Amino acid sequence: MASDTATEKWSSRFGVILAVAGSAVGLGNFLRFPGLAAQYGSGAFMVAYFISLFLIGIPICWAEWTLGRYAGQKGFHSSPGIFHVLIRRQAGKYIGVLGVIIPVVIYMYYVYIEAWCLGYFYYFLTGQLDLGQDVAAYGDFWARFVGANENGLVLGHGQNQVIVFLIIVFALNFIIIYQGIVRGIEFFCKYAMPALVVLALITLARVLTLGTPDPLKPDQNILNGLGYMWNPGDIAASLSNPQLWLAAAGQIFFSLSVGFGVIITYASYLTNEDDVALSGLAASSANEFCEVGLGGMITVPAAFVFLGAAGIVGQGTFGLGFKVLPLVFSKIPVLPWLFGGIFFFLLFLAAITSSLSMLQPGIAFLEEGLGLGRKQSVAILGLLTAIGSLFVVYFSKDLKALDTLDFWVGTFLIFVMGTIIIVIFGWILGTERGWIEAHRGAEMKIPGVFKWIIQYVSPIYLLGIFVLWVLFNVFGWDPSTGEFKPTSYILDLVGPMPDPVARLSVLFILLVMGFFLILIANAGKRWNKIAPPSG
Amino acid sequence: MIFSVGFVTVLFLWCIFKVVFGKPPLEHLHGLEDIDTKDEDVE
Repeated sequence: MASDTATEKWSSRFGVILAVAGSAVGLGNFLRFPGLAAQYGSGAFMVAYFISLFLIGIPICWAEWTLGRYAGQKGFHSSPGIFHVLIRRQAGKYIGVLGVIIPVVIYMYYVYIEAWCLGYFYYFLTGQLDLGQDVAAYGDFWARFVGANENGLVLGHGQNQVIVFLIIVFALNFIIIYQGIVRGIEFFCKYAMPALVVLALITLARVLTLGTPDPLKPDQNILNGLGYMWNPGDIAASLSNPQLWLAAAGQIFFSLSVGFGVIITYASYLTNEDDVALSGLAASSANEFCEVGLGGMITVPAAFVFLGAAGIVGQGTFGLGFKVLPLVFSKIPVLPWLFGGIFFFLLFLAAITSSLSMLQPGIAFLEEGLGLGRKQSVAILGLLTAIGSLFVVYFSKDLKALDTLDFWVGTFLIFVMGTIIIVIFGWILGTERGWIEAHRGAEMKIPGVFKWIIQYVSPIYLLGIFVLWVLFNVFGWDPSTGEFKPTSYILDLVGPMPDPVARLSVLFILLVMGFFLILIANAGKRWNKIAPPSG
Repeated sequence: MIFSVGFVTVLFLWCIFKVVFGKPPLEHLHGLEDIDTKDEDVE
């Protein structure tokens, strides 16, 4: 048997839209996006952001939905299987390894961050996050909690509460994923996503009614907070900054979950006549609403009201989320513990709906590639991801393992995967055929200009962004001087003083990739009988 | 702010409207009759 499990299908259109939206809406919507928008001057950033949305985000999203459904009709649900049937060459299934290792490796560290969110929710409700008025105290708390001061800290004696939260979220993820597509992912997202939006609206209402909490600092009011976040500044000058375009395109990629291998897997569980055009746009728009409409209105304006601009600048995603915002919520005049708890539970829901989606591509591959049942697949993936998560947790000093995995897999490989998908849609399946496929059962007509965008503009735009990314983040290009100074990610690997944890992290990625490539070679023997390659 | 937040909100609401009031989806059509047997490797 190729598989001893019946092929599942989504039970409703709302279910699949909420599942894909749940995959897309994550920590980046509420922490990363507002920080980037404020850092680059929101007006110019939003111009680059919306251009990236229309030139790469939505086109790749439609391509993933269409390709996934197309391959799903031929009985393939895992990325290697999907690429096997799309590319029809021996190499196809091996390229598809990216669609398995990207979500699996990201899950290994993402679930750790998810545990922080659950932990902070608990600490707010129990009053343990009332640490006074100094942001440094919150920074120390976070560093101790995640073990950022020393490797192995949270696995040894002493500060190890984060392990309890990690075990809880790890178990929760696998209990849900074990239930399957309909009874697990779809059921959970049907409740979690509306709950997330309601919690975000409650938090937003509280933030917008903050007024001027400190009469001694009249400039720090909510209107100025919104102005700090959204006032456009010098748009023309800012748009000439290539880093801004890179940040905007990267945010679109990360936020919409395109290039993760998740959407293409989810879409493979649709039937041939299920709509992909409107569903894809609906899931993307839900993500954009949560990111721009909610995330952009909550975190930075709230932080500005209590801390001013100086308290926000240069904090980064983790700094904003786990140092600044706990202080901000603890300063809210009425029921600070409640609103802090609500916010971190909102982050937890956003994270778990995303982490769930990262498991399904791996499960799908083990089931259809090796003919395993769900119980066996869940057990194998559980063991593999547990090893990876323990690796991340153990090498926690400065979060080096997490950062290295995120750089090479969560950023670099996602660009590669996104480019492959758009090239397959535009040039291998063919735009004409792809267009027909995309409109099968469609409830909206995709504007014709997107046919041209998908074939020409998206690949060129992606290539341009990718080249910029390599120049800045790998070779350390300084456009003002024209000099190249390799970044720490390169120096950690091949510099005069290499970092052993960074090297181990890259070795770990290669081992995971090798493991799945061996399994794919084995699976290919089975798949060749179903859909033989043409070359 | 008005343009950015307004645009994503209108797009989101339009999509919800289309999904809810558009062509009735074929709900619950995916039962066990859709089982896809790929069992072609019987030795």
